[in-house]
Amino acid sequence: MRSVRPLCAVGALGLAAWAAQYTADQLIARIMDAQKTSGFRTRARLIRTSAGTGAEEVTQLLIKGRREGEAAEVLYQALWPPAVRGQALVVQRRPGHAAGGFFYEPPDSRRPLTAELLARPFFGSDLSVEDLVEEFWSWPSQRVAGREALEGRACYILESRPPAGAATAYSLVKSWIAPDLALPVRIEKYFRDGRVAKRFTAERLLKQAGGRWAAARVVVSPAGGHSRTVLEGTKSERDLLLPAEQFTLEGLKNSLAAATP
Amino acid sequence: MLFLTVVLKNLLRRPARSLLTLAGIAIGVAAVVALTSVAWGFEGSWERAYAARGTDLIVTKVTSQSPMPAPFSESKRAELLRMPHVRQVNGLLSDLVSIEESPTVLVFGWEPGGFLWEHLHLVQGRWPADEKEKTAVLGVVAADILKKGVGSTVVVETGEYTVCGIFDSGALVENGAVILTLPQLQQVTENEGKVNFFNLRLDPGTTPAELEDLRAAIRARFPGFSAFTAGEVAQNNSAIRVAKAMSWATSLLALLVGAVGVMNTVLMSVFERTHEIGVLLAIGWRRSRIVRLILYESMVLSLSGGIAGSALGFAAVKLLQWSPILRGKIEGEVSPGLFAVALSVALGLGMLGGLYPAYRGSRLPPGEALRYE
Repeated sequence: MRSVRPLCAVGALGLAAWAAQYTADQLIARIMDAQKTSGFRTRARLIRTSAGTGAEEVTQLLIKGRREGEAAEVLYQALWPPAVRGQALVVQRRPGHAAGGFFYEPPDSRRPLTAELLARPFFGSDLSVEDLVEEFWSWPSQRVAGREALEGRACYILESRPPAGAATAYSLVKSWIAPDLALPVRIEKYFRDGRVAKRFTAERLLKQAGGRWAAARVVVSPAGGHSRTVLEGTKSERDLLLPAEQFTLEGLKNSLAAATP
Repeated sequence: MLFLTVVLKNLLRRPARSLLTLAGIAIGVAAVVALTSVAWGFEGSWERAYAARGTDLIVTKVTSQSPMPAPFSESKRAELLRMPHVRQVNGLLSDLVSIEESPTVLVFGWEPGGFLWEHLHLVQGRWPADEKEKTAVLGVVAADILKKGVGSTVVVETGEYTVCGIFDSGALVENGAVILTLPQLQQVTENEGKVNFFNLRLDPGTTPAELEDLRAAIRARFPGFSAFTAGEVAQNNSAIRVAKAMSWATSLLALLVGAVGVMNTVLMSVFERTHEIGVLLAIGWRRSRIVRLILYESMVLSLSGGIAGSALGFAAVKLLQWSPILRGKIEGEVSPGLFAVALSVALGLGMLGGLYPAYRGSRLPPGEALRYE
């Protein structure tokens, strides 16, 4: 009987989530609330596998973020292989402004995020720089298009459309959001001609300290199926106080100089 | 004809059926052997590492089920040194880090000049000169996995280190590790001034009662902390606990599934030999002898499966040890003790599986059994 109770509780939770009616804004707010933290640091591996040869290319990444009021900064830095070591993408988000930032290349090159740069693959993977910079949750057009169970989990399908004239390669982003986890478990991005451009699937969902859920592994499957990329978290810390200096050009140059023998 | 010969002949009457049952038992026992070997080996490796370091007590913060305890301030060192019987205290920071193409490698940060280094044997190169030098030493297995030699560079988190030496230790957990000086690892993991273990050496001749008093004093002085002996720290490791639980669960499942398989085979054999059992009873065999005959058959079957399964299990462990994902992370224990456990499991399932058929066979009325065609 005792073992049945947790199952009933989980079932009831799922049913409650299924029965509850969420609006698009409420779903986005749940995700944003769950992501809120003063600062975080994550170590991840980006593994791109070619479908034809099965060859794997591994990039070790350090991902750090900090929040100050409503402004946030996220840093994606390559630690390995040597060819890209030290290169970093810094994304800056400020309320009322489009996401900005820069790309750092050692020893001291700093390039703003232009349309050409946004379209480039992120460290040779199936992710583009835009996938990390563009926050489609903030697009003005958001609607709940339906509900679907994914892997037995009740999900809302949220459709996000960019505003006219937005500098994005995508015309539509569909997210399958599990409200009980406050997490998108699948995201599909569509080209302007309506074809699926990429599918992001969250795997290995883990409950973290504080009851938050996170995906330890995200699989990115681009259209055509010639390759796939896995972003695999190996370690994560939250609620850190990270100095703003770490997200500046000078900070990046200094940390690289200190890290080299 | 010897009693055992009768047993063997009965089993060989249906060689395919006996072989299939034996294969089923062997697979179950192999799973038990492989998992238990890995669990015991992992525990043994940590115990050997701590024993070789000459560590009498390990002080750490018990916070979560994570394999690595959360870092805490190393400022407690001075207080620990003032406690009775404490002779030396070495702070240590350890972490599981994904290095280059390897999924995760154990990385240690040890105090330069501390006693932890004493038991390591330098195979090539030299030890780090001081805490400022950006160098690393690699265990022989780690060097092999990461394909590094003296003079090459290894990237640990944001830091780039020159490999200055390769060492050999008596324990795989250290041979598969990368060691930096403590300040270097603290800096690169942004844990300045923090460690996650204190290794304590006590005065020679400290009695077990004094050791217990010290442990109690540490727990009282530092709430949330625990002081373990070398053996206990391995037993309290969450990964070891999971491996052990899995090994017990597999043993139980193997015992149940194997017993049902043996029961099915022996029961079928009893039904097929109803007439023959009737003849044996008619010529004066006691019912207890029939019970023994059937039990021996099931035990010979499971014992043979146990021996084959043990060989298979030990081979599986060797294969796992050399698999790219687990190389340098597991060290299976191959010992007479484990072989005895495997044979006990096999004999247990033989006994369990043979009891009911033996009972059925021995309860057959001789007259009815003789008429059975």
